[in-house]
Amino acid sequence: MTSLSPHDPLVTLWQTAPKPDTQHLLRDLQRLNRLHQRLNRSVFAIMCGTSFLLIFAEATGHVTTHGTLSVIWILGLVLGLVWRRRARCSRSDALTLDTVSLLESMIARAKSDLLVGRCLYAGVPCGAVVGFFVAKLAGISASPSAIAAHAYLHLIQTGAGMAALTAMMVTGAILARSRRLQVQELSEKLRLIKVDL
Amino acid sequence: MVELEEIVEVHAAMVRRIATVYERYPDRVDDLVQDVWIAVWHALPRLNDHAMLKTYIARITQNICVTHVRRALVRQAQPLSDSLPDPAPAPDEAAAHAMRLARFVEAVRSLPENLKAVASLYLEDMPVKDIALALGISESNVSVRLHRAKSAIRLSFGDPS
Repeated sequence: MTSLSPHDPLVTLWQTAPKPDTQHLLRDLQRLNRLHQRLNRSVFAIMCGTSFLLIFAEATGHVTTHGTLSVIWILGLVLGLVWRRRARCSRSDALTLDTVSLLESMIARAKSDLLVGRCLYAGVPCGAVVGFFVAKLAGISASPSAIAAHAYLHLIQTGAGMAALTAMMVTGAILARSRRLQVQELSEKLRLIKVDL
Repeated sequence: MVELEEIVEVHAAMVRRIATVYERYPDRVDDLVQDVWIAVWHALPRLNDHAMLKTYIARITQNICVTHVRRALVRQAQPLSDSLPDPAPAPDEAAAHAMRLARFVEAVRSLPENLKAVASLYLEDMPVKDIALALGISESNVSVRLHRAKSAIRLSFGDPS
């Protein structure tokens, strides 16, 4: 590997910068590695424990959810795996791609996240309103006798629904804001690096 | 871990120098350096050609530094500092050198993004071909940018010789 200008005084001066403390860095890396392994083990143990309890409870009929909890749990696991796989792919991109391709892939990913964020904070309330009117028009609701029997149940269900809607909208707004900034900054960097001289 | 220790020992200075071009604040430089080494650590088993290790690490550092999104609001609130050592307690000659180096780093740091990326790799003694490969631009483009970067550095810093 030959250098363009081995005796360039700029290069010589640049390389006289003081050496960093590598022992400290290595200690930090080892600590992070230990933490990472511990976290992996803990997450694995929690997942196995919860799955075992859930299967046991639903198989023995202790919980009469008709498999709903299992479906939610499996859905959560799948989403978690997809997220983990995506994080791993984005980390390996930095190792395999050149800077321009990496910026392009990061922008594409940030744009798709931005769309998800917008769907959450704008689509969710619209969907809820549409769902409410459709349910009203179709006459889908709890029977008056059921409401009378469980007076607080209706209130709790409405409260839980509103809380879930608010949480989704807030999450969407935060995600959209951070991804909008990311798209702006990365696009500007890409424009500067890609521009032909 | 032994192999990583050796690699860190040899290339830690390069990684830190490149990170210093992209981040002014020592704690953020530390974060960047840590991110780079974690990425290198994960990538080591897949690396076949150890002769290309320097280029590979420089490329990873460059990628991580360029794609790291700044949190401008947080950063503005932080006090101004530099990751280079304070020249005050050092002897006169060392202090003068440290100040000169700090001015040089500042000159490189203030380059526009397109010139900074090329300059930071060139200063690590990487050939034009490798810089072009790492950045995904043509070799002629690298040469033009390099020329402009050196002119801009000399204009703000002066001639180092």
